[in-house]
Amino acid sequence: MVNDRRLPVRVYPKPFLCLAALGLLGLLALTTGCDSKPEMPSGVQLIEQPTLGNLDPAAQKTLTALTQELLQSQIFEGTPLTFPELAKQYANVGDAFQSYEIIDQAIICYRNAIILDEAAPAAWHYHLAQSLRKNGDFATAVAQYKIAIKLLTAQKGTSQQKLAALFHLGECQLELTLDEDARSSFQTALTVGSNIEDAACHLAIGQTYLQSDPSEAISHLLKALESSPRATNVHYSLMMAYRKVKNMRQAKYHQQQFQKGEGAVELTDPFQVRLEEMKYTARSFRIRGDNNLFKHGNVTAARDNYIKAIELDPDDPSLYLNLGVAYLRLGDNDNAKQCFSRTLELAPTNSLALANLGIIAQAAGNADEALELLSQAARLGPNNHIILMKYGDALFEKDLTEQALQQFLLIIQREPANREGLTSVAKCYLQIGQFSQAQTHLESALAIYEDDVPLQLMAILALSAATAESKRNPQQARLLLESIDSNSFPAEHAAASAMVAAAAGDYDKAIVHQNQAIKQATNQQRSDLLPQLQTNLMRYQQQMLVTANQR
Amino acid sequence: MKSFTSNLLRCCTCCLLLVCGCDSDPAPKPDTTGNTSQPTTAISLNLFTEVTNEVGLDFRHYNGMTGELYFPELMGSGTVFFDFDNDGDLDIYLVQGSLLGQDTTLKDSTYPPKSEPRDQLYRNDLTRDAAGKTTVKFVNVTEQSGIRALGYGMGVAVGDFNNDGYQDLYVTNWGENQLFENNRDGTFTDVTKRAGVESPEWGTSTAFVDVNHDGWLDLYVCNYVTFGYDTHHPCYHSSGAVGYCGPQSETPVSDRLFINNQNGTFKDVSAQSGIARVSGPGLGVLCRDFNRDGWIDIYVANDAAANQLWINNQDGTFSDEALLRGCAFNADGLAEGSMGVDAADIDGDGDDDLIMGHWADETNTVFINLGDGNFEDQTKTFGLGIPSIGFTSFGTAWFDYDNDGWLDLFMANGATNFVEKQQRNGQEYPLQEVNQLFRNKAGTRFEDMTEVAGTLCQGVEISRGTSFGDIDNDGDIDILVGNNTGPARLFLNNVGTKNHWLGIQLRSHESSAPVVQCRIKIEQADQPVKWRVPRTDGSYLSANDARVIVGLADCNKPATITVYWHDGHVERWSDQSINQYLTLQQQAGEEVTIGQ
Repeated sequence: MVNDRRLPVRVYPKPFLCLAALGLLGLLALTTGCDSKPEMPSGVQLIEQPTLGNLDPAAQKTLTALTQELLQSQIFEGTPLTFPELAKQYANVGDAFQSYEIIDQAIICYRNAIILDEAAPAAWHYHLAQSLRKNGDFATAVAQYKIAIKLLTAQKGTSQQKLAALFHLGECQLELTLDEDARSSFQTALTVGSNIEDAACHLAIGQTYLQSDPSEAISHLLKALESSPRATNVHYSLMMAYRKVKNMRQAKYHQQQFQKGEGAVELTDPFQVRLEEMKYTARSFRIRGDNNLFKHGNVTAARDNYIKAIELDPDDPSLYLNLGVAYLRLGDNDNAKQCFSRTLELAPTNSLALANLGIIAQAAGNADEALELLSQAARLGPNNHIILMKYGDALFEKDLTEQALQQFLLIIQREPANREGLTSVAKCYLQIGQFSQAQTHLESALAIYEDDVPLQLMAILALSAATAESKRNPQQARLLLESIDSNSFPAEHAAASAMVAAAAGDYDKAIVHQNQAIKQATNQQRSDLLPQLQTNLMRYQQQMLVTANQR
Repeated sequence: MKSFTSNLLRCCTCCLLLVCGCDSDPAPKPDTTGNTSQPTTAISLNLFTEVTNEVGLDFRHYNGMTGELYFPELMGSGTVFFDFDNDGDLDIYLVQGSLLGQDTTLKDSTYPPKSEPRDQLYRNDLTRDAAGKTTVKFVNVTEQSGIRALGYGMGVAVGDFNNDGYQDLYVTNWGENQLFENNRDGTFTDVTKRAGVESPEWGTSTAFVDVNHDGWLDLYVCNYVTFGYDTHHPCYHSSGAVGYCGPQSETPVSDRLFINNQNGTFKDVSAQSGIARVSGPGLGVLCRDFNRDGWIDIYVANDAAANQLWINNQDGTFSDEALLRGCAFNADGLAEGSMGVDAADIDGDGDDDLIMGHWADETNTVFINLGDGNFEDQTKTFGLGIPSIGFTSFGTAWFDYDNDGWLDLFMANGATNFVEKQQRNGQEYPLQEVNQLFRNKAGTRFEDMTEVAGTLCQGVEISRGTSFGDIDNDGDIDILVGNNTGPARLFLNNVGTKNHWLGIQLRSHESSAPVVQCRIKIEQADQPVKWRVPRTDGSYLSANDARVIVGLADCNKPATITVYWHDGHVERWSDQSINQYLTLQQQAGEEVTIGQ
């Protein structure tokens, strides 16, 4: 017999054991409150942690915090949210992703939000539509805009919101070449918007007719023009429409208006405001400042944005530089100077800051200081033609004409038709008495800009005032003079007439014309011209006496 | 507060799972592609096959980047198809970048090159077996050629500027450009200074073109912006992300026009011609007679600025008429970021229509010629708008890949802003995009063939310069794609020869070098008339095969070809057999008066 040292056990049947285990576990669950994770509805996709390394630190911090929270929520870490709560979180993060252009993840977030909350508000559908559109999925965007519009109507959204949704729906339909549908959307938008926004709708409707019915297009575009007479995009479309109906006179008129126009007809998007407000970072304010300053010409808004940007990032030299430019454009040279100086403290070799300080010094009459600053700027920024031009001007003012000429020649070597450069070169040649070279140069310049009056007047000077008689050509000078409208530059024209007369030896006439020139210059408060005019008058008077004595 | 019942139910479920040995459902895996579109089940038609390695092409572009995000490193460079040795097959020239930065060495490069970076010349030693099958084989002949192009290379123009029958090269750089004269013995000489075509600006696309009808090729050079290390600064996109600067952060520079003095030298007439009056960040150029007055005009695609259509005034001057003619801006009157460009008759009405590649946020643009040199933006009508969103398009051409008689479209794509999704996936240089191929459906609309194109559109790279031509002389058009910091890739066409075709190369009566930019009319019985223009210019920074391949679909009837020469003469060649290359020499055809 084998000795079995195990304790005797009773053999229980298996089902009994299972039930016991179940009961035990159930008891445990009740007491500990344990719960299983909810099952996500079908269609919900989890987001990923985005790569934020290129964004500024503030943006990185904001987005990291938001996404970390959501990454946990979406796998129900910690206390699980209800689906509507999770939906709201997805929508919030979707807004953040959209504002920072992480579009594919924004789409996932909005989709998830809509799936998780049956009562998804219109804004979520709208933002999803906007994101889909940026991603090129216009067909799905159309569907989402339509839902948003329905909800806005049901939920009594503002008229601006409805207008934005209808308008963007129309734009999407246009992309899909659903022109009739697009027109219908724009027409409906007309019924909800205010008069100002009507222009955008009329422009859009007009554009849908451009290819098929340009006359109909024109009638809508003219309506758009009524409330926005300088809008470049309206004039452009009118130019195209009139060209299509072969009305070239009107086409050219609108071409000119397009080139002179200011601003464009655009729709403000109330849904975007919140997205913009999410971007409370130095870079975002900086971008807004740049757009205000360089695109829209709104200098005050630019200044305010740069100031906010600097509050958030006080060590970025380019922010001070751009703020300084804004102050300069506002005529606030003192603040501008401070900004440029601060730029140089942070970035000592910033050529633009040096150049701008030079311009301020020039305006204040400090020619020596201006010259020094612009010289440094030109050395550090040899590729910036504006700096070179300013430096050349400063040299010219200090009578360093030969050096100024070198700067201007450098510019026209690179930009052979740079009008300012051509004019400045001519000015230098005349100043140093190189009349032959001035004549040759001006001949080339006038071949490019034959109607340029300052160039023509300088050519007259070059042809008339050469010291050596052999270099003068009074006949050509007179012909040139006759081609100039005397009303365009009256003082200069009179002075040129005097020169031509003097070149021909008729000093009586020269004195008469010169006196007219002085009178015109005085009337126009042309203090820049008067000294030279007075000098020339004396010269003509002296020459007249010499000639009279010789007789 | 959860109910007792629901708790109990949940526990039971959990316990059951434990007993059964199951685990809880794992969280759904994230969609790592972030792709919101439905997966496709397209079967590849293998329209093109990559043969880069087999043919001995071993070029890798070096953009000189060192981490500073200098502007030039974004641009890529050009590719060239041309027959430099006049042996009847296309050779390849590839433009190379160089090191960027002050006080840097090659070791500082993010992607160091294996050898000294310089442009490369590959000779095509094409062979044909008894059955007529051709085999392409390239030999690197850079050293023997004498071409030392060590600058930061951008684009190339190909043309016989000295009328000696051999094609020469003009290479643009960020820095001084270079003119290489073909010595007719496999070597080239740098004659830039002697010829007077120095141009120190940032040159991009360029083209040889006879603007004054004297039978000598003049030279047009696009210039971009005034970038220097002194103007370099950080740039931010609308999201606030730091990235490469764009053209609006710098000052645009005017283009140059050099008139051939017929003695190996040129005269810079940029100012007096009117060209230099307008400064634009030029990236693409092509020369066509857009208003059909018999004089070649010049279209310039500018980056984020109005495009220019320089109408030839026939007196040595040009006028920019792009605005009024409707091809300066898109339909909304907005400037777009135009890079690559091409023009050809895509709707079968006999005039040249334009295509331009643009930024990812913009669509590419199709300007349809209304017959009189006026244009209309019909991008949406042709279905080329939406498919181009999200892609930044560079090299491009209208070309008939399947020889069905309708000109199709290829776009070489590569981003200019860092793609966050690629960064998320660990891409080192996250600017990769897929190239695209579109098939022309009888001149009314385009169909996206990208997914079935084969290897041509499978790679995801930063594509830039692209050349189009028949590299294996089999009667269909092949494609050479240059990639920024990547290999140049050659794709052979597999389908064009399934249809009938006719190849045409034009020669002047004085020279064996190809003549381009003349209009050619091709007629067959009971078929619509086809118009083609042989050219080397267009695309982006690149040069193309000077021959024309006309797809004839399934029509095997002989063809009548009418050539409208630059000097105003019109000649006809009747009853020509198809499925071959024809060389048509001026004064060898039947003279016709217009109207016949």
